[in-house]
Amino acid sequence: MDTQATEAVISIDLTSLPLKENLAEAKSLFKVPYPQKIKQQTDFIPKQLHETQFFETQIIEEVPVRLEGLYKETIREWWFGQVEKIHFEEGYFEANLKDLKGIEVIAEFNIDSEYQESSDGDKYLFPGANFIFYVAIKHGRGYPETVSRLEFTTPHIWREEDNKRVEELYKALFPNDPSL
Amino acid sequence: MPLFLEKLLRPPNKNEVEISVFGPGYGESIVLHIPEIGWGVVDSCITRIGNTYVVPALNYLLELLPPTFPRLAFVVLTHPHKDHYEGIEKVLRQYPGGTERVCRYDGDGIRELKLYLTQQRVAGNYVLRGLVDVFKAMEEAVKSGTQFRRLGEMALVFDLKNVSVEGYGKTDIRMMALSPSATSSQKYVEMLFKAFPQNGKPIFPINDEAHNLISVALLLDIGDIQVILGSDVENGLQANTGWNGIISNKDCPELWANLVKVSHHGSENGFNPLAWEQHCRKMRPLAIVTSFRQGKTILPKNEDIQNLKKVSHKVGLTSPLRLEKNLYKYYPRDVVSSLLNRARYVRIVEPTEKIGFIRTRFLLDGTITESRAEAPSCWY
Repeated sequence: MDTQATEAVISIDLTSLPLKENLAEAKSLFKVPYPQKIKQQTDFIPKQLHETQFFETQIIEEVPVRLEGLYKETIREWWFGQVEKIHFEEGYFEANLKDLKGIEVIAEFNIDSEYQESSDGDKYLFPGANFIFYVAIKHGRGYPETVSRLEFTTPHIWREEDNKRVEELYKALFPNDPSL
Repeated sequence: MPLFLEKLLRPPNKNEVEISVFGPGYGESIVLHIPEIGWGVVDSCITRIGNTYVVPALNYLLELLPPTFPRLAFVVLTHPHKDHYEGIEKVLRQYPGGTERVCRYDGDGIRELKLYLTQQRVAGNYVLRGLVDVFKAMEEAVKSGTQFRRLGEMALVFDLKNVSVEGYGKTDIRMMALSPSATSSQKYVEMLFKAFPQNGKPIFPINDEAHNLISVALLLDIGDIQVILGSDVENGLQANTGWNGIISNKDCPELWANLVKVSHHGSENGFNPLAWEQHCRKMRPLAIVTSFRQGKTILPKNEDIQNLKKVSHKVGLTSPLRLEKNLYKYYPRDVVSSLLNRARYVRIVEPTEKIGFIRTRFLLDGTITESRAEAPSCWY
């Protein structure tokens, strides 16, 4: 992975974020530790996105994002997606996407060759898998150019220490229940 | 700003039963008025009207019932699906009159469900988002004096004997859960167990439809009226699960009905011919369906409605779902062209502009005093 990554800019109109749910989802996706869970491509660095900014800022914020390669990208629109159904034989999957304004989109994407060729492709594509889809303008030599990307989170590999985290979280979520 | 037209805001008479079914396209919620019992809510949903998110059941009660806001007699969660539980916490926390009792399935599988939710969150999967808050709101309500009633096959939400109702005389008033059966719950536990993680292996969510196994169907019985609220109960793959389990239960009361809230959004796998034979035993009931979408499949399909028409007096559909092909209405040209380059099929789920609902009011002798499908809801 390129450690000399440059920064790009995502413009998010924070006044148009009506859904607490979207905000929580945005935060949860931003918190995904790199490189464990986001498939190689773009690394979203959320340092500038604190909770208070999400709820209190009323102006358009510039959110820097580190990207691979020596170019910048400005995100034009992005969606949180969830895989609903996979048609491996026909080579596509159905997904439900939601943008930050809460507009819902139904889409079918071809299963890209990267998944077919990858031995761990099926790790990314499963019903319920989450992904980010975005359309961006790429700046730099030979550009601007509009690009789109699908970035899947990989399934979490369960570790011994996760059981401890489950115990703690269970206690926090269901304080009146007997502990595990 | 009020969401309902003034003409809709006439409360029912004390001796009228009201069944108002809200189904804004995704989600389902039912508001009931039952003589001598009061108001109740079965399930809840959230929908977006313009730029605001509303809870149809809560908004309806807030606009219909001022200034007295009588205590809600019951709030029921039928099963843990987002299109049925969203906003229940708001009903419990924001309805000014408070709630007498909250009811939900709380038998085998619920502790496993809670553990499953926790494990998935540790793994970064926010499955059944908002459900924990619904559970929390129910616990808060119980702490402040609301009763908690566990539902399951043959459990009662309420049961009053020999009550006098104006204009009708004496009657028993009962609301009973018809499901889930012990076999369904057992199957649910098994499915959750299969999803529990093992060290060194990836963790995946279970198929969302599994939660239908613990769906609570309800039977309301008062005067000469029976109403069946089918929740998301499916046919059942085994003899003792789903509708198969309900109709094979020897203790199950007769299932004839004046009105049926059709189970599982009118889908083929929720349509049980033997159950419908029983529903039609005295009369052809009104069949009310709420819509649902998974991928580009929209429920109910046209053939589902045709099937229901054969066994019912008429079919009411709350807010048919519409998919918009013209993406330019929502996104700029370059975004649309990128989207279309990447995806082989794209549609936008059209936001609802009005809360449509179907309201039916009965006298206890079965006379229908109102049968209204408020646009975009419609009758077939």
